[in-house]
Amino acid sequence: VRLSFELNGERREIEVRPFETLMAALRREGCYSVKHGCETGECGACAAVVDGALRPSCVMLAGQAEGCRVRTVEATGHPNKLGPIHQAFLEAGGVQCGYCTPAMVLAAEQLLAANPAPSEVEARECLSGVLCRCTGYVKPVEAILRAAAMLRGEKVQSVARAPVGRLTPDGRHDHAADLPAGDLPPGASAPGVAVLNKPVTEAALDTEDPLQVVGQPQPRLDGPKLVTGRPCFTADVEPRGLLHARVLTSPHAHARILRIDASKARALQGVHAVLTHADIPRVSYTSAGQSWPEPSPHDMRSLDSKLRFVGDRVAFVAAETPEIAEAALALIDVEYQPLPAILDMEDALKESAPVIHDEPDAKGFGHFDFARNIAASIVATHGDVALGFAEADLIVERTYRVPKVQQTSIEPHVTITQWDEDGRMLVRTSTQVPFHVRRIIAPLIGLPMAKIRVIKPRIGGGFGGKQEVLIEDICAHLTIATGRPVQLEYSREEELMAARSRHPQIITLKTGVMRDGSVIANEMRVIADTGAYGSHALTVQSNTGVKVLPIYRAPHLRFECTTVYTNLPPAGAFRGYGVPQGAFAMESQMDEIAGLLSMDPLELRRKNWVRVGDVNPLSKKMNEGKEGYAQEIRSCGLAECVERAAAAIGYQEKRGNPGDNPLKRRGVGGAIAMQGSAIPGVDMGGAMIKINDDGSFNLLVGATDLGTGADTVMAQIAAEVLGCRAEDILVYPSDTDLTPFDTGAYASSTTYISGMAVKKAAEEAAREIRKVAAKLLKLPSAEHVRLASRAAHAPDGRSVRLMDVALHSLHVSEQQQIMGHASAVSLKSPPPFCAQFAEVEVDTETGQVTVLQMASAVDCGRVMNPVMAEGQVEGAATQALGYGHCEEMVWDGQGRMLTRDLRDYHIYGATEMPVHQTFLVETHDPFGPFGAKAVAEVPTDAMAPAIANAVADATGVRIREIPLTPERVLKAIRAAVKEDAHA
Amino acid sequence: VLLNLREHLRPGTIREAVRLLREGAGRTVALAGGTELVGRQDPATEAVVDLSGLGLAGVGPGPARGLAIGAMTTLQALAADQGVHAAAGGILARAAAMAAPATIRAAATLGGTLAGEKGGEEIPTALLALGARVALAAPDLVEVPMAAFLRDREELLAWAPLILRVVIPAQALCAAGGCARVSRSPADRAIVCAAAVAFPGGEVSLAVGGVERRPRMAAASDEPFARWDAVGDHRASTEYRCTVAPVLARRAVLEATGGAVR
Repeated sequence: VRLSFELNGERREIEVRPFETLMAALRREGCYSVKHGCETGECGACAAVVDGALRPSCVMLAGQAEGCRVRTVEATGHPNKLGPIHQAFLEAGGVQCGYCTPAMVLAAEQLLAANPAPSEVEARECLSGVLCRCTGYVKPVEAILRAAAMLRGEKVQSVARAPVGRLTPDGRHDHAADLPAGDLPPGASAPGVAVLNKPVTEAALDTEDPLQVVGQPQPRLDGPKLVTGRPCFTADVEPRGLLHARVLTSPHAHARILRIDASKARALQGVHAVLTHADIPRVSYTSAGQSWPEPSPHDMRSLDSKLRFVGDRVAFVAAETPEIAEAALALIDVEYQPLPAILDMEDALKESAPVIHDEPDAKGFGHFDFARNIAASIVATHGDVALGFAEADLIVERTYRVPKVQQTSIEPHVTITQWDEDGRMLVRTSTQVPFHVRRIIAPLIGLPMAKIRVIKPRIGGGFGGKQEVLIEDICAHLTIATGRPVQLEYSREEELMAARSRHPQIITLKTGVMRDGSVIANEMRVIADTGAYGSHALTVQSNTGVKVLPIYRAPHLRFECTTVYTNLPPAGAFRGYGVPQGAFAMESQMDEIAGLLSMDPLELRRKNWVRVGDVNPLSKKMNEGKEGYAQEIRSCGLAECVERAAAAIGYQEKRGNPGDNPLKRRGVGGAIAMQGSAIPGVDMGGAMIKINDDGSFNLLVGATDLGTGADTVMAQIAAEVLGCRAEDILVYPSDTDLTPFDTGAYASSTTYISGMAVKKAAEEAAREIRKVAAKLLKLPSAEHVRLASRAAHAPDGRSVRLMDVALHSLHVSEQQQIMGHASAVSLKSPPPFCAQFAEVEVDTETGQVTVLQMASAVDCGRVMNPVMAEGQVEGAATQALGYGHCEEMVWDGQGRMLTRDLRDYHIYGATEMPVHQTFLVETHDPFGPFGAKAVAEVPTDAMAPAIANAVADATGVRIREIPLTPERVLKAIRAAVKEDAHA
Repeated sequence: VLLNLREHLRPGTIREAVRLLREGAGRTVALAGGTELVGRQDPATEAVVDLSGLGLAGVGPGPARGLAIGAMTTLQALAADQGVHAAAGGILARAAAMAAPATIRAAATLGGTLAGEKGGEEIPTALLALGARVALAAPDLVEVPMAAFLRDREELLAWAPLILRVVIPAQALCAAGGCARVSRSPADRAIVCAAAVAFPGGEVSLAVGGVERRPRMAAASDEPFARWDAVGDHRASTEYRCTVAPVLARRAVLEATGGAVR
């Protein structure tokens, strides 16, 4: 079909196929800002302006654009020519991974063209069709209002803001006075109408703080290309001769392939390869992207004759187009032998349960029992809980259930493989773990590691879902089979059916307390569901124990967990990594105990929570399946976190006051959590830095920025040491050929471990710079040369520019490449802490819970970049809001997913977000770079129990299962009423 | 994608559109906004009949001083239209605003919503309560009450395959209205919803969606929802739907009749 339309101001006449979507046509025309995030229009990443209306191009046929004017973000600017909207998004921190950013920029442009002074509600409404999994929408909304002011010609304020809390020489912090008022901010009384986060700024950092770059709200260095929609993501590069892969998946939850005939598919014109289990070697592996030796069972094969969940791999196809590949799938003739399936984790342990992994070549890790469907089991103790329970005045034992939820990064999993000119396999993939990808796929595809190069381009969000070697082997097998480049990009349905998810758990928590509220014994017994394969089966659940139980000091602790196989999609890593599950149980139980003891829940926590100097008693017993290292708490801002967040929602004033309306009860609740900063003794990162002629630096770092802004933080760290600007650091990340090794972006390790490697490498380069500068300045020693303002300064005030140092050392005398390289590993994993609070309204007739406001206060040690750190907190808390409130993967009696698109699997959008206030409580940890700890995961942990506690406060009903759906809440309320009547 | 789509047809007249749709029954489908059709990826679809050139968009005066809403009117236009806002407490505009996020509302149409499966419950529920009628082309004009359209939709569309417009009767325009909903989160689609219209003469019309397969009328008080043929899904069971239906019905009626909802 001939399509005539106007694209970004130019007339275009192109040929399109009748079925082609506008999204596909626009990308073919070079508009890579139009992103694939789903196939049903819900995510909005593909949005383009068509005749003045922003609409999803994935659900619009190209033919519908006939005669239309189409505008994409490419028309709005260029990285070297940014407009006010681009600037505002960068300055306000409205960009994280950048995958949805082009659609947001277009939405903002549309709004501001029609309405130069929008309200916040209008700004939120304009983003209502663009789902963002990174930001929590706070900063994009702020960016739109900022852009509006800029376009009106108003002077906008700097976004610089300081964390709360004050550094003291001994690393402790003083409590800042004058906490903010606890009422909802003005104009925020209506549900879904949030007021912008205004971080508290009254308590400035130590004024003697000498840092110049670290701690500043440096806009992300890779931002200009993201706000202008440059092609930088995996799917934005299309090598010549690219083939498209599709995967035939199992329609059965548990089955054997009796016969498979791909001859018709192979004969289809345009099909280049069809691979079945008979065509490739059988090699057992784990898809968990973890350090060697991976502490997850090797229970997967690239293709297997046995299928273990609906969505499991049956065959791979590579064809000229995605449509031909799709058509070929229908031509593969498979005879299945369905087997009895396990769809409930408690059924997996029954004597009569079928065995899911009965293959002889599956290899377990640690304690496991494949014959009983046990992927991993853990027992860790401290003291003697039996003794503790015997001494306790009160024993509370409750069981909690947490659901299977998905990471839902807006960019799906996508990989392109090709042979390079040297006959090496080039893997360009959206991954958090490029080095693990290289190591793990090597045996699967029969190539030595040296023959494989993995490049991580920009990633459109990961949240743990891309700490998985999910599809790289598929593309590589097909490239080997065809000799051609192959791309596989999951659809949203495939993401929800076959990618990874958070482990569901059933948690029984038994707590012994004394009358005064002292916790004396805590025992947590967990059954966890790893699904069909045991990816992260041991380690996620270890975290449930080691990061949750010890947050309260108790002389007796016991953790026991059995992680079972079921015939459901595999679980894996997801931000928080086991802690959100355990924290829901622990923090719900603490409120319940407080009620039984007639204590203030915060007082009960305060009495028991860890303090500086405490040693985590389980830390030596659980660490990636081997003995760990004792972790002493050296910094803890928990007290101030609780105080800040509680005050922000008016916890003390509102608690116990559900209001006069019996049908709409209000309540408040809070919870706390701790995480870690990297896996001690396991996570390692390397960095290399070299000076260029002009005094700029190339920083080659293995760290994997998955959209968090890590590259910018790495540049800030290097710039701080080298006395230059962050923009003088040219960061090149994550290429297995060119950058040093890094374990990857997970376990809250990037700032802490990779940042430390960058700091050490920069320090090495700085030493060399000082030596050369000392010679140029004719100083007897380099000892007192100071690097600042892109120059080396002598104590007497003279200076020489870094550029001059570079030119001299590269071209003039004693020539050398000034460079530094370093690795970092740590046996210490300092825990960041957080407190999260929520206020809810519960409709007692329908069970509907409306979250009115949230507050998160996080102690992440030294704040490296306050705007980015806030963005991490806001995004994490929004994911946690969904976990507690509305997200849940649901399957039918045959194991078929019912939540297969973003309509059924609902994630929060901009218009429905509650008010969210964020506080960064700064402490100084002695181990991290400049005192930093991690920030990204801990705010995922405590919001769900905070919401449940708020619902209990509102209704008097304790609900021990999330999400708090209307039906679940109403059922609990009615049961309580019935119980009361009975009593 | 629509894997087997081979033709994009652009009829210039309603008569031609009806002919194309009838001739290709089963494999030729009407293309309105495309948001549901393209997302559905039905391999049976071989041709689409693009309705964009038929002048079916817009809101304006209808027969007998009612309000006519063209089938190609987008949900965004519906949500923003002053006349729709003014009718019966704006229950239809509110339903349109809640039906989908802004980007989808900019493309999805009223006709597509009524003909499709994924348009949500709230728009047809509001139209039912308003006593709206659906005008179809067979190719001659056929007008049916909304209740009949929802009940017999497949048969009606097989016979009269093109929705032309929806007409809201004059008496509903000056009536009072109310609506109520329950959902997993504020912007999620409704699990159960109710819409009520209180006419000047005192009569109250109530419709409830999300309990049965399609929305239906209910008695303004004491409707025996427990006897409805409820359908559950992963968001809520049939029991839950029957339990909250009277609550939402009562609230919608209270709002429409000026009663306070506590």
